[in-house]
Amino acid sequence: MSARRIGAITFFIVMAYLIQVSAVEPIDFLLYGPDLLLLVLFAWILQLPRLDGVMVAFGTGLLVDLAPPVDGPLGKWALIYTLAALALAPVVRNADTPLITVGIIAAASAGTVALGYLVSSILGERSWDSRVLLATVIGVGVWNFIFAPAVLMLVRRAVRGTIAIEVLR
Amino acid sequence: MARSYRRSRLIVGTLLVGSLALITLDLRSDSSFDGLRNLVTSVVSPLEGGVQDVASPISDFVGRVGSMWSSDERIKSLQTENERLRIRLSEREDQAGRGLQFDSLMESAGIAGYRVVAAQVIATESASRLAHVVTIDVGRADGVRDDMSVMTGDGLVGRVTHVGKHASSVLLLTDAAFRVGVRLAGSDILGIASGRGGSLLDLQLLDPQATLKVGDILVARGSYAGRPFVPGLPVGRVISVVSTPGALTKTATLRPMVTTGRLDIVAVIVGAPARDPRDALVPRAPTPTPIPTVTVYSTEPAPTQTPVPTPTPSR
Repeated sequence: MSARRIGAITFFIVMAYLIQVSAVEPIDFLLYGPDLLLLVLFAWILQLPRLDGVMVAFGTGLLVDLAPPVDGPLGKWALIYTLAALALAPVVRNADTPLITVGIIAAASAGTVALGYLVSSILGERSWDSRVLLATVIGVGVWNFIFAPAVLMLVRRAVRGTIAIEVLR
Repeated sequence: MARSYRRSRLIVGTLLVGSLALITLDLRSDSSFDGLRNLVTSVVSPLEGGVQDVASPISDFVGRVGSMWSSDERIKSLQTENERLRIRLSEREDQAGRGLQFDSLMESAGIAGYRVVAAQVIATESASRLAHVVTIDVGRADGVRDDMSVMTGDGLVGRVTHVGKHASSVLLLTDAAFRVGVRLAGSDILGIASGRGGSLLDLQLLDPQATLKVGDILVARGSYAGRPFVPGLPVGRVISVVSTPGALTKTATLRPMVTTGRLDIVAVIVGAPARDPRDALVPRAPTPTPIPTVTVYSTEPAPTQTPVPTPTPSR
């Protein structure tokens, strides 16, 4: 992966995280709302080779573990996002139409929430009310389905931009 | 091709093992990665504050747009203008509202004798990460330490779980991992309130014979030296009671005194009071204003006696 592409991915991930925790979370959406970080992460994973996608997922998880608000042990979200990226890898090949791509991103987002709950339970961290968990999983899935086309368009432009720069060089 | 496949599996395996190793090291030792976390916090928290300052008018606008769709859209131009002016007014009211929040908070702290550091919430953990945690813009440099209570004018918000130099993470009382010892206001009945991950709390009273009714208020019992919890902070109000015959504890559901969905101005209690404020912060039920009454006695006028003529004797 070129340095420019790494820079573009880092910029997208960091901005998505900052906007999510500082601007999106305070908005009172019906049924929890979108997760911009998961949207951007999975949009990038779908554009990258499998190994690069897994490494981006690991780095994103590490950012979430380290950056405030601090919640849980270091490495937890790195593990969860890495597992999510690995689970997504076989499905990426089927992302041949826009609707399927958007559906994959939404399903991956919802699945990551459920995976997060599972890992938290294994670590003995929290036991959540099942209705709250279900509402969160469904809410994140639905909202990410709605916002995925816009995010996907931005990420694809960034990918084309980095490819163009590499070709020109 | 086989080599690149082996290399790819090696890297993925390393990442997974690395994650597990980090989790194990962090859980086994309380302060393994505090330096690294503090460094990242010192870099990220000013950015979060900046994004929040820029985005909060947009967030407020988006929230209000949602309520615009329910109004009558036939008079579009007047409605649009009206809403624009209302938004500007609301922004000013928001600023006034912040002032009122701050006043309420300082008043409560003063009544109870808490020494506090005021703070603003600059980041909220994403709901998809199944944690109710916020970041506030005060840290070690302001006197904040781990395991301090955080409050608003209405009551307990949570406790500090991680402290950076200029920012801290606060675990909210609605989080599923949150527990606080509580006391029924007006009595010495003790219990434990715990978050369940939604907007309500679970209560377990340690005395199964205790009398508990809807509307009762629970306050924090307090911890040794006021950490993590200072005594006297209102925690929640009972909204339903579950009474199971033969059970060792009595359970109930509480609605938190503080609405954690839209926190803005909060305060970290850096100094516990010299004396337990007991129920000083418990909101009093409004007492009806007595209406002065006057009792009027009406008496029948005494019947006037008509003189009875006496007969005059004849000669």
